[in-house]
Formats: sequence, structure tokens, C-alpha cells
Amino acid sequence: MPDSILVVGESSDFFEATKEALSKGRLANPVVGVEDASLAEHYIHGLAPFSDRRHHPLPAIIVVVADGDPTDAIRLLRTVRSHLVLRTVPFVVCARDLPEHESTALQTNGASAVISADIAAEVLLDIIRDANTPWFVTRRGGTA
Amino acid sequence: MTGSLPLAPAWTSTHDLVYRLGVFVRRHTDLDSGVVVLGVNLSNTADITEVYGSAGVQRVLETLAKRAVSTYLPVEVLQSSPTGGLLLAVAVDNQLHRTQVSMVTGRMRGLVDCGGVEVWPVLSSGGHLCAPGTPMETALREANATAAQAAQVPGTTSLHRSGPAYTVQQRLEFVRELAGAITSRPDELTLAYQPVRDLRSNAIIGAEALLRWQHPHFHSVSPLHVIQTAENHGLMLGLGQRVLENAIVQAGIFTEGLRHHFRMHVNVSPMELREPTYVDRLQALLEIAHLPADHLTLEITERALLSEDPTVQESIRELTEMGVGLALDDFGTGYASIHHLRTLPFETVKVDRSVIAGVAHSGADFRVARSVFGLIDAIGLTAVAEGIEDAATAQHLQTMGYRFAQGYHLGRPMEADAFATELKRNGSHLRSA
Repeated sequence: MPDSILVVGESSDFFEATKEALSKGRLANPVVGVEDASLAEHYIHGLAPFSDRRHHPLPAIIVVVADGDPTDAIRLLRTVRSHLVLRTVPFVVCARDLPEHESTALQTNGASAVISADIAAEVLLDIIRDANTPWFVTRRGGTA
Repeated sequence: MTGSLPLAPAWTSTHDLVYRLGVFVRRHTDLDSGVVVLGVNLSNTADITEVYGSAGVQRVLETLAKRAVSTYLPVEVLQSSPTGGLLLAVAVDNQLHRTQVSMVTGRMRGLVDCGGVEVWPVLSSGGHLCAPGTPMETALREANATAAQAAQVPGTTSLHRSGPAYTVQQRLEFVRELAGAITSRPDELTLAYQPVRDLRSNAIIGAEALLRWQHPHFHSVSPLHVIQTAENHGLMLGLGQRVLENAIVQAGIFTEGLRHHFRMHVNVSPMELREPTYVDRLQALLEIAHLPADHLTLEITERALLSEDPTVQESIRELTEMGVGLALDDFGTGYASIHHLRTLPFETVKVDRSVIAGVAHSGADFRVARSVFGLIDAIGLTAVAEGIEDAATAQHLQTMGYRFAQGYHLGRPMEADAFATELKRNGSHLRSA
């Protein structure tokens, strides 16, 4: 199974919008959603309920929604950046109402991009393209 | 109904002009109606005169006058000028005056028979809606001033309801003071320097020199107004020389002991490039200041870069050969095409704030700005984003690939001493102060 795109955040609307946007862009990687940073860490470390890597592959891209408080996002970012395999994976933070110093902290800790959550679904595909992430394509056309 | 004569005498005295306008205004002004004094310039008079003589111009003006008075609106032809102009009085509905004036000027446009051959008259119009109680002399003066402004953009119509910011007397005074500042009171004209930064490292990699004029009477004058006045009144060469001198000397001071490459950006008017001695004078200034040519970037608008004037093209070629950097300014506001981006001799493109302002709030704006960057990058040029006013915009631009930028968020324009301090604070020097 190809690498996943891990979306972290409790908003189901954001998850669905992101999934649809990536699908329209013919990005065929499976999009996986988890509600918070703790579950994301379980996913990254292969802990239950994500222990079967055949069904829960490591992510090629991580997208985190941070509303106001980026503490959990920074913690997850540090986890990812210290992971032997995932340390270079694109980590995109979609934020609302984030003070400048918090955005700076995210970038200092290695976030690939900090963008407004209001436009994230529209522009995420462009950001992923710019992240030099290898593409995955299917033999057949249409949405994944 | 129409005016008394299709074409008024060319040499109408001012007294007669004021009288006739006064009669027309009294006849057609009430609570809902007014009069627009409209100056119409024939922009291609010189070409028509060269081929068909003054008789050809006269024929064109007569045709235009007949067309003007053929509309349903009352129109009086107050004066015609052998140099290619008409002065009209148009009775209008106050609420509809713009539409009605457009109708009159639209009716005037069209091919004109110039003795068996047709010519296209290029018309520029400027008008002034007379407010109740406006002295006729003032109305005539303001209409002429508006028409003169409109003549700078051939083929357009400009209309003002109220008086311009300055009366004619004030404009004369302004020009006199500006000329004095340039020639004998140089301390009034100063430069402020706005940092250009590397978004990745926050390092200051350059500065744009921005003109400031602090006048005891006019106080802080808009740089745009200063430049426009200088260009319109033959002062641009002197002003440009003073700006260039100060910027180059200051660049020499800023770059002393600097660890990395630094560029001083200076705005250049097309008028300066048209001056045959411009490049030689610039070279002399660089030598006096011991500043390598590649520490200077001249910011040039699309209008100048697209000029077909051979002197301008020669100046640009010589500057490029000398090693001076050239930047296309305000990209996104004009008509530069992909062809121009690929063929014109500049290395930097300054992307206008209008392109990048909404990148953090609109997916469409984000994609447009990203596409602009992609285009500039694909051609091998360097993009500098202008007008960054907040952290979110800077972050989004950096995300999509922009590396260099300037704007209030990255540093406001500041005096030379403050800029030098900021450079040192930025960690750009070998030794601290």
C-alpha cells in the first residue's frame, strides 16, 4: 500500500475538504485522519490501533490543523523530526488566529509550511507539489 | 439644441471666452443641471500637420466640432486651437454628467476625411463640472489643467467635479520650491532606505532608496507627487541625479565591512534614461564612491523598458554591460508579457503588492502569486515581493517559493543612520560597531 497522507485535527469538515482537494488533484495516496496529536503519535510509532503497517502505512506528508494553540502541533513536529524515517517528511501546519511568534516557533522546529486553515484545502496540493515529494500515480484515471 | 457656430474663432480673447461661457452657464444651469467645460486635445496633431499641413488639422477640428454639436445635448464650441484642440461647453444633468460627456467625446471619435484621405484623430479630453458660483475664469483654468493632465494618456477622458488639490497658483509655487530644493537647498531632499530581506534567514540583502521631501510650508510631500511634478516640469533630470548621487554614496558606506552581497535599489525615470550622458554620469559616481557596479540595481518601470526610444535602449544596454543590475518594477500592474520577461535585459522582477496582498486569505490569490513566482523562476529571474505587511503574508510567500521581499513587516523606510544600525544588528558585519 502506498504511503499515506496523515491529517491531524478534529474537524471532519477540514478532513473531507482536504481529501476531496487531493483527490481532484489525482493524488492517489490514501488520506488518513486522526483527531489529535496523541493519536497521530500512535500512528507514527505503529501503536494500537495503528499497529498493522499493511493497513496503516507511514505517512509521506503530515498535515496538522492548529487552532489558536500550537502546543500539540509543536510536540508532534518534534516527534516527527526526531523519527529516523520521517524526519524529512513535509509537515504542513494549517492554522487559524496564530500569533506571529507561534508561527515562527513552528517554522523554527521544522514545519515545512504554515498556512491559513481558511485556504488550506484549496492550496494544499500546490504546497505538496512544492515540497518535492515523490508523486504516486495509478494506472487508471479518475479519483482514488 | 446646438451652439451658434460649429467652430469658434481660433484667437478668441479671454474676455470674450469668459463672456460666452458665462452666457452659456446662465442659460443652462439650475438645481439639476450644470455645465462641463471640456478641453479636447488632438494628440496626433504633429503627424497630421506633417502630412496634410495646418489645413488638414483645421479640417479635422471642424469635423470634430460638428460632431460635438450634433448630439441632443446643448454644446457650445468656445474656442479652437491651431495646435490641435477644442474648448467646449456642454450642458449636462448633474447626476448624469459623466455619461453625457462620454457620449459627446464618443460621438467625436471616428475617422475623419482629410481631403480625400481618412485619418484617425487621437483625442484626449479633460473636463471640469462648474459648481454653482464658480468664477468663469476658474472654470476655464481648471478645465485646461485637467485637459493637460488627460493629454498624457492619449485616447482617454478625465473629468473632475471639484477643484484639484492645488490651484494653478499653488502649483506654480510648488514647482518653484521643488526647483529650489533641487538646485540650492539639497538638505530638504533626503532618502529613506527600506530593507530588502532574505525570507529564509531574515538577512538584509539590499535597500530601496526612497525620496523624501520635507518642506517648511508643504510639510511632508508625497514622493509620488514630487516625481510627477518633476517629470511634468523639466525637473526630473536634476532630481534623479541628486537621488542617484546620495544613494550611491550611501551604498558605499553601508557595504563597508559587510559580509555578504548588498544591493542598493534606486528608481529611475524613463526621462533619465533618455539623457545621453546618464550612463557616463552614473559610472563616474560609482568610481568616486568606489562602489562596484553590481552593488547597484536600477528599478525601471515597464513603460521605460518597453520604450522604443533608441537612446533609452542604448542606455539600458550600456548599463547591463557595465554590470549594473536592472529590475522590472511594479510587475503585475502593467502590460509586460511573457515575451518581455524573457527578452528584456533585467535580472530582477519586483512583484507588486497587488499580486501578493491576499495570499493568506484567498486560495485564488495564493495560486496566482505562486504562478507568478513560477513564471519568473522558470525564466531564470529573481523575484522580490513588495508590500509585505504582515507575518502571514511573508510565510505564505515563502511557502510558495519567494525568497526575497520588502515591506513594512520586514522593515519600514528609515534614515541612513538607523539603517546602518539595523544592518549591524542584523549581524551582517564582520565587526560590531
